[in-house]
This record gives sequence, structure tokens and C-alpha cells, in this order.
Amino acid sequence: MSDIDRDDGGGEVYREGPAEAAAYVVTALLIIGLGIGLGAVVLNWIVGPGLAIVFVVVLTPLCRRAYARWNGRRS
Amino acid sequence: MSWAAHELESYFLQKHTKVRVSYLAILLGCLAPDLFTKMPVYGLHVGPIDFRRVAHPYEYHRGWPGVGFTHSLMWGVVLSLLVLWIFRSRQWALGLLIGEWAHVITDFGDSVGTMALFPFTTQHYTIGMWAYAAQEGKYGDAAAYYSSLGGVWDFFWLLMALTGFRVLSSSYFFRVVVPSDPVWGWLRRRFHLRPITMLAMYRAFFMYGGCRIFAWFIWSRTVKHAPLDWSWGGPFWVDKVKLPHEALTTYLANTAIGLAGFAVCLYLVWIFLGRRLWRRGKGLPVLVDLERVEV
Repeated sequence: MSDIDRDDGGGEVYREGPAEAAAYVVTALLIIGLGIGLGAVVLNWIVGPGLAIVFVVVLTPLCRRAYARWNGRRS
Repeated sequence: MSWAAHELESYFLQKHTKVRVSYLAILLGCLAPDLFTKMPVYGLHVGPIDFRRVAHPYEYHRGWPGVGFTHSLMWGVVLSLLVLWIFRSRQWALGLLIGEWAHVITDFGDSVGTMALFPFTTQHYTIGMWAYAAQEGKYGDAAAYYSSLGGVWDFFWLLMALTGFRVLSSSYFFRVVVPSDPVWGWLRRRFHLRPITMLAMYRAFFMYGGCRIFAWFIWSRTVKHAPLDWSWGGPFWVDKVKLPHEALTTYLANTAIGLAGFAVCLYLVWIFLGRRLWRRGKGLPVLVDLERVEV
């Protein structure tokens, strides 16, 4: 699902799935929410992209775990 | 001034640039004209820090005397030559040039426009699509911009960036973006970055650019209660900056002088300096076939 693989040419490919997509969606919603509430404190060229990186990096493992649990329950 | 368009156009440009330029350089080029000019335009008040804004933001930001030269095509050439001279990187020089020129052209949209052909002429080029309102402060400007066609312009760039969704994919990043720019490899080694972090860094300005459109738009409607006005040159309720009326003959004469000066200067710079710097530069741009990159 979410791992680093090698392609035919030996290049590194980072595989992404629904868990990663969910992490980006939650990140977007968080930034929009914080932006509406805090305005320019969040929506500036330093904090905004910085928060996007931090949220994605923190939320992706959480979303992967939640997705794995949900998948396990389904099967 | 354009808001999120400057972040989003970097992804669009990368898609349509068929040579291996640095994405980071395009992004930096797109941000460069406003990087050190926004603080005096809006001012800054954080705790004990009180940085007062200039009396006439539009004259300072887009005019001469002022820092309006940062919004000119020639400034992009100067930055590119400096990078080519110091770092000898063709990918970075070309990326900066593309990004900076895109910023200059994108800012034609507001009522002040840019002195694109400076220093050969101080003629401003504008289509007056939305009101320049930096004099209203950061929040006043945000409310005006996202109540006018400026917000639509940003949304257009979001759609443009999404049409090239392949450039946002993981495979495109690791197969095209990273090999095209040694900076990514250096960042990875220096800070022991994981692929997830590098990918998040690459997509950060897309996320930020897209989110700020929705956040400022909703803020303008729900917090500021600013009336929406999608008429040309709007919104009606802001005290917009307008340039003095000019005769068409003056406009055309200035443009002819500016274009001729720019073309001659570009040729001379290339013959006496650019060509030499380009030859000793590193990193030969290679054609990129986007269709062959799997998503």
C-alpha cells in the first residue's frame, strides 16, 4: 500500500494509497479552518507551507494505521 | 497583486516546461518579486515589533523610485545571470527566469500592473481586472481581492495546476523533479529526509496556495462580510488605486522604446556575458516527455 519500491530502471518510487490521500484531505481542511480562524498568522508564505508539511508528515502514519485497522475489520 | 496564483503557477509552468529546470527555482522565481517587498507594503505588528508600512504602498511596491523594478522582465534576467555566475546551474538560472517572468505577467491583472519593461520605460502594464488595494492593509487587501475577480483568477490557476495533476504525483516527483535538481539530493542527505517529507515539501505550496483561496474567500464572506463583486475592476466598495489617464500615443511610444531597449539589452547581455556563463554552466537541460511518466 504505502512503501518505497523500485521501478524497472532501479529508480525509487514512493507508493501512495487512500491513507495518504486522506492525510492530504485532512491537512487541507485543517489549514482552511485555521486560516479562517487565525487569518494571516497561518496564511503566510512561511507558516502556511510549513504547517502543510508538518500536518502531512504527522497525519500520514495515523491515517495508515486507521486504514489498516479498517481494512482488517472488513476482511 | 495576485495572491495564490504565484504559488500555483509554479506547478503549471513545470508541467509545460519541456526542459529539466529546477522546480524550486521556478517557485523561488514566482515568489521573488514579493519576497522582500511585502513587509513595507503591509507593515508588521507582532508583539514589540512594529514595522510601519510605507505611505503609498503602490508607488513603493510597483513604482520607481521604489522597488517596482523587482516586477520587471529585466530583473529576472539579472537574477538568472547572478545564479548562473555564482552557482553555474542552468536548471536554476532558467527556472528563476521563468518563474520571475510569470510573476511579472500575472500581476498585469490588478489596477496598477507592473513596469514590465523597466528600466527602458516606467510604463505600467495592466488590464485592470481587479482593484489594487494593498493600502487597505493585509486584511483589507484580502477581503477586496477575494471579493473581486482576483479570487476568480486564483481559482483559475488552481484549476490550471490541477489539469497537470501528474506533476503532483509521487512518481513524477521522484523520477523527474528530484533528478533535475541536485538540491533535493542535498536536502535528503543533509537532513536525513524521508520520501514522505520530501514529497510533502514538494506539494507544500500547492496545498498552501489551494487552501488559502478557500480560507480567505470564506473569511471574507463570514468574518469580514465583504460584498462579492465580480465586475471588471471591482470590488466597488474599496478605494482602489488607479493610474493617471494616459494618451494612447504616449502608451505606444513608451512600449516601443521599452521593447526596443529590452530586445537590444537582452541581445548584448547574451553576446557579452550570458553566452559565456551558459557555456561554463552545469546541467544540460534534457527534454522531458511527461506522457511517459507513469502516475
